[in-house]
Amino acid sequence: MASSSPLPHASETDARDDADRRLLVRAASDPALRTAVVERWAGLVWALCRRLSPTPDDSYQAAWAHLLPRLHHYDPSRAAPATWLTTVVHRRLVDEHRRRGRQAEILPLHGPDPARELQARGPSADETLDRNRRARALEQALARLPEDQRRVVVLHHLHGLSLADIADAEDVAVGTLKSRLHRGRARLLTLLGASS
Amino acid sequence: MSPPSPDRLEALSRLLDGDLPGDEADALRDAIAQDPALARAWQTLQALPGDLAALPTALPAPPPLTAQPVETAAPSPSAPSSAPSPSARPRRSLPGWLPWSVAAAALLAALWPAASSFPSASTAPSSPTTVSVPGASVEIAGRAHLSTQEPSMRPLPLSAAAAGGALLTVAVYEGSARILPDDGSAAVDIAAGQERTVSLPVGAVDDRTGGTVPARALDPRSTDDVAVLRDEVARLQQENESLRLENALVRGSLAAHQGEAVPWPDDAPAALQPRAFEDAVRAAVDRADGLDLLAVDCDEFPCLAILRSADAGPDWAERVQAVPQGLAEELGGDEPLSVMAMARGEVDDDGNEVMLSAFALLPSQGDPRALGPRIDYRAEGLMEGLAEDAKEAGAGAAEEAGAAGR
Repeated sequence: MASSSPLPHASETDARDDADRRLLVRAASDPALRTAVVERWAGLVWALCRRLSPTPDDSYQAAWAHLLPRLHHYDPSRAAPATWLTTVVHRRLVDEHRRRGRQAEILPLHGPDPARELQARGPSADETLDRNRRARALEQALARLPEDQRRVVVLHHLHGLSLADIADAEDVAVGTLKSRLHRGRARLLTLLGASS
Repeated sequence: MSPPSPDRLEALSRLLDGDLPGDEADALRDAIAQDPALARAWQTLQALPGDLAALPTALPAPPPLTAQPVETAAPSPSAPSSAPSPSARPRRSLPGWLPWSVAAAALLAALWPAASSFPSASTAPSSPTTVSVPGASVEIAGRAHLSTQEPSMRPLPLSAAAAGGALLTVAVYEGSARILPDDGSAAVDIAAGQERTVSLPVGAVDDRTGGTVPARALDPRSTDDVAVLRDEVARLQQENESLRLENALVRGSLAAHQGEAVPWPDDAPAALQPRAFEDAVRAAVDRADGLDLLAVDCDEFPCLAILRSADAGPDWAERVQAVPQGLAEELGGDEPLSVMAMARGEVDDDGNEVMLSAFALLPSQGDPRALGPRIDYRAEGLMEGLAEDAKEAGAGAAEEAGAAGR
């Protein structure tokens, strides 16, 4: 078990990171601190489940039930809390995905079609799209990616996990994962109507 | 100028990461310079990592947890405990209520012996009676259980708890009871079905006698025994709470997974009524190429249709999607209906793909997502069975063809 002694950091960000690491370590042996853990990282866990699971509510409950008894596995000398939590939740979601097998690619037939939405705005649409609208279109396009492609795009680009770490959790070769990443990006371009 | 093909877009992605061989990279750069559509895609792709990184890594308003895992999560294996880990038991195979009831029974069984090391009594008198315990007397009219214990034995909601005092608990099964503290403080009335706990002060000066009130009867057991019992109670409490969490999570997961059946609403649009829906779907499938209608399920609202794509070509999803989308516009009139759909690909033993899809149409008012889990659950069940049937039919046909060939 790792020590809970303060880690030498100077900046404010590092101080926050240090506090986060200590919180996670202490919560492993002090159940009273688990409320704080949930409050601190609920948004992160929810974001992962929301973006990566076809049943996010269900996955969110299961993720915490999976995470909390495993806090003692966290080693503050090896990873930042957010990275560790992301990795654990990712593995959990991969397990869920495998249990579901080859079934059911959800086809989001309802709701706006980002590609069509962008095309309808005409040639100057990109100039007038504000940040939020672009983000919304991107979120919608992400939701339409196949699950395996979505996981690598989200975890690599949003959460900063390395391809090697993601490949390890997915139990696939890095080359396979890169292929998924390229296919995912290509699909995103199509969904965003980037070439039209 | 046609939009770039998916292969071309993938090549752009490889170019971005420097994964393309030199000659291919040069050729692609030339193409970007000459093809405006490819140039736009390249521009968007270059901005993509930044745009993705700008998305929030935490989203607001996560759903509330179905239990309080923070308070009830199972203890970690590293926590000091000689007891086996509660999580080692295969509880999920039990009905949801069973682990809870077993744990509750175990906890009670452990609590009573622990409490009985201090003054404890159950009464079922035919007439009111008074039971004296150190520091108080209890008038009982009916049936009640009394016990005293140290405050540290379990967390108790005691606003009046005095530091260090023994705790008197009175649970009234029938009738009523009244606790009369010896120190003259206010009496506590307890009705049937209630349990109250009061503090018996340690070494408090008795105003009436000038003497001291003994905190509790001396326990003949050794303090080691008490410590063991206390640990056992704490362990059982933790296990009980862990089971409660797990039970709540299982129930929540089940509800989230299966959804809940929705009765047919009185005001369901005529076009979504079973007969009308089936007729419309049948007509739409007849108009489509390469699609079969395998089943219509209207046992619950809304009706669900299962289609099979006769060939699994690259455009099968588009062809399948066209059916519910067309129906949504056709049946919805001015207010197109919402469509919920899912698809499933299976490969039979001969390597042939069996593509099934399910869809439901819903009134556009309200939130169709509320029905999502139930529709998914129904669709998965139907497609599971139909996929097996389709595989068996395919295998049967292959055998017949083989036999005919022989």
